Amino acid sequence: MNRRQFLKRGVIGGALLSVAGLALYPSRERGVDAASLRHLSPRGFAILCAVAARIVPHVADPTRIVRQIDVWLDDVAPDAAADVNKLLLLFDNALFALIFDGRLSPFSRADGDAQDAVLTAWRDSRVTVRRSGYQVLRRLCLGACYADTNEQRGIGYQGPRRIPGLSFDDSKMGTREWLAANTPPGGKP
Amino acid sequence: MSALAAVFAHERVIDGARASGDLTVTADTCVIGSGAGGAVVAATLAQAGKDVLVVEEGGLYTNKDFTMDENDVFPKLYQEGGRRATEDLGVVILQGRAVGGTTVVNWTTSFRTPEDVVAHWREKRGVTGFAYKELVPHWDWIEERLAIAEVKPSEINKNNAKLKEGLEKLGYAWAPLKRNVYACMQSGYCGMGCPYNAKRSMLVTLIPDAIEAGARLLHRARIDRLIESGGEITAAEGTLQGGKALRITAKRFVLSGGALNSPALLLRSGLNDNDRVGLRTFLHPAIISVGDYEEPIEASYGPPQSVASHHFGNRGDEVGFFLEAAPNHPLLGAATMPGFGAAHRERIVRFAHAASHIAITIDGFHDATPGGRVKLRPSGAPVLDYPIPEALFRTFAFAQKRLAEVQLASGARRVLTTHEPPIEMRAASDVSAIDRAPWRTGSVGVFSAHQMGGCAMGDDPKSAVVRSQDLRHHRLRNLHVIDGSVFPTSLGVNPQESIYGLARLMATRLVAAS
Ligand SMILES: Cc1cc2nc3c(=O)[nH]c(=O)nc-3n(C[C@H](O)[C@H](O)[C@H](O)COP(=O)(O)OP(=O)(O)OC[C@H]3O[C@@H](n4cnc5c(N)ncnc54)[C@H](O)[C@@H]3O)c2cc1C
Ligand code: SF4
Repeated sequence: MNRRQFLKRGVIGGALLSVAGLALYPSRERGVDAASLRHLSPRGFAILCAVAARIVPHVADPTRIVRQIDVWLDDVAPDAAADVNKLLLLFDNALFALIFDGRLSPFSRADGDAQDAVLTAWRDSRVTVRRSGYQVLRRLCLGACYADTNEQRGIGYQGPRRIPGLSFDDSKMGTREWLAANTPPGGKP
Repeated sequence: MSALAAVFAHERVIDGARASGDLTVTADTCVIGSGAGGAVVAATLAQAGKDVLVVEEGGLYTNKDFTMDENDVFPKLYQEGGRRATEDLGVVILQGRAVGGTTVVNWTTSFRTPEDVVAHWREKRGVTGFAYKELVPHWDWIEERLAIAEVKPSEINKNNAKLKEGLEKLGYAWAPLKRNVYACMQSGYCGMGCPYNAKRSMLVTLIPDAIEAGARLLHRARIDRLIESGGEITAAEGTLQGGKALRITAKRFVLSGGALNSPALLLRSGLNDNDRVGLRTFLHPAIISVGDYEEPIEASYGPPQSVASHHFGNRGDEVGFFLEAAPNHPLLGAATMPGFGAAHRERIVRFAHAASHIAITIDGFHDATPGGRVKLRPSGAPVLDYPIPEALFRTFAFAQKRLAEVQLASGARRVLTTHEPPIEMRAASDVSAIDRAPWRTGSVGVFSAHQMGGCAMGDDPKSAVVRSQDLRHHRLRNLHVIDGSVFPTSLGVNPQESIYGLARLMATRLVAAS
């Protein structure tokens, strides 16, 4: 694989992801029942909780966000769901951190400021896989956070303005024949 | 029971997930996909008395399912739950998956194909099988059937009004849009399925027409591969939701799975004779500018798109683009807003004051924008390799500056790009900072709502997948591809009406030939 192909392969960058499981220091685990997870590994779950805690620090319990993401992975291609686990291991990998950022501890064991520095290093990296990986984690956490109606209200979204009981359940509505035979809603088109 | 409910309750409508065992079905014509292309073909053939089976991977969701909640609706109505992206994750791909296809979630903007685009195809892409004027009666027909009409000034929401105001102040041309709606309640939720059936999508128009005319609809059923023997497709094999097997035999197969999905099915089936399948897939890659206004904009509500500017559509040697508005809802809006932590929070709490305007770039007309290539993941699912070329980044930068100027001219107190970190502008003198932004994959938000190409039409079997006179596969006698994947370039306008018109012309020719 040449350098361009390597960088182009996005999160799926095989060589990168294959070292993801190797670690100088293990990730900080968070007690989770593996059977309750659909796609994320317990380790991936713990790492993603640590990431979510920095992406949306105002949320008291990041596990809600990560459980939502786990459900979303039902819908993506099976290979892409597996890649998210690999990305998380890579994100937390101390060996990788040492090579790229001169940092020795895994993301999940660092303090808040150091974690923000890791996110920023991935964001600003010269390596496409890292920038894209940052975007994936960021978007998943933000989307899952603001999927919640309480969070939505907190940013000024009032929710849909429903018009109860209203729907035009007629596939012919709007056609010339329909117009000839009906008074359209509101009197005229 | 309402008229629509009665159609969908018909015994000809079959839910693949409820099949008690493996399913074997026979039909004269099997149409794979029920979106813009597939629905038009199915209705046209069925109304001509043909025996038609429509097979759709997505579910049959109706307005009662359209809860206006992104988290509830996206998994039902979008490919990969709305989380599809290019292989290097540089472009987010929004694409539908349901009975009615992407028309169920589109934003209703309706354009005929520009005449110069059809001329370009003829001159540069070997598309001589039809003339522009032959499409015109079919656009007339669809415009009537879908009640396509220009928006009234009173229907322009604040988000679109700000775009219009900025364009006018800067002297850029703009025009009101046409929409395929009737008695629109201006809710703003077109992208989540219209809860009132006011949007004249394929779900509430041509799919019911097809069923009423005798077509069968099998939903929650995916075709995995086509089986070839002696220059013909003899069967389609697939999977019903839940895992049961599906086998369809038919005299003719029409592939209407849309860009990415149609080429992927051909690739999975080993039908890539000339190594052209999946090539030249176009995205109309779009960038976003977020304007933060003093007054509430409430871009969640009202018709999502009602004005557009094609002022920069033709830029000679540089890639052109057009400007439109985009609706803003919290889940996607939060994911699009740049940054994380406190910086993101400070921006997102301005949600109700944010205007969202987009520049949609026109790929495929310059050598420097050859599009992407559809590939298969190990699971067989499609993934698009679309490295964003330098020429597009140049256009993004130019367009981002115009968008910022438009928003500042219409009173934005702050304008944000979606870079990581974003460029923040408060005055016209700040706009040049956009030139110093990181214009590279993964550093700026790029999305696509318009996927085109990958099974290009054209007369030369060496460079095209289907013939242009009837969209028949160059070698396989009974396989047609009729959807957005046949376009040999992008369009420079929102694609749905181009697909309706072309599909209707070709379906009419199919009827005449049989
Ligand atoms: C958010 C959004 C907004 C948009 N807004 C506009 C707009 O305002 N105006 C406009 O002109 N266009 C808009 N579009 C784009 C437009 O709707 C699409 O370009 C158009 O619907 C594509 O038509 P199609 O027939 O090629 O494919 P689709 O309409 O996508 O239909 C293809 C169908 O085939 C099914 N399918 C695929 N593969 C298989 C298989 N193997 N087996 C069974 N079924 C299969 C899919 O599930 C899908 O339902 C928008 C798109 C999006 C996502
Ligand atoms: S804006 Fe109109 S067409 Fe769109 S969802 Fe609302 S009522 Fe339906």
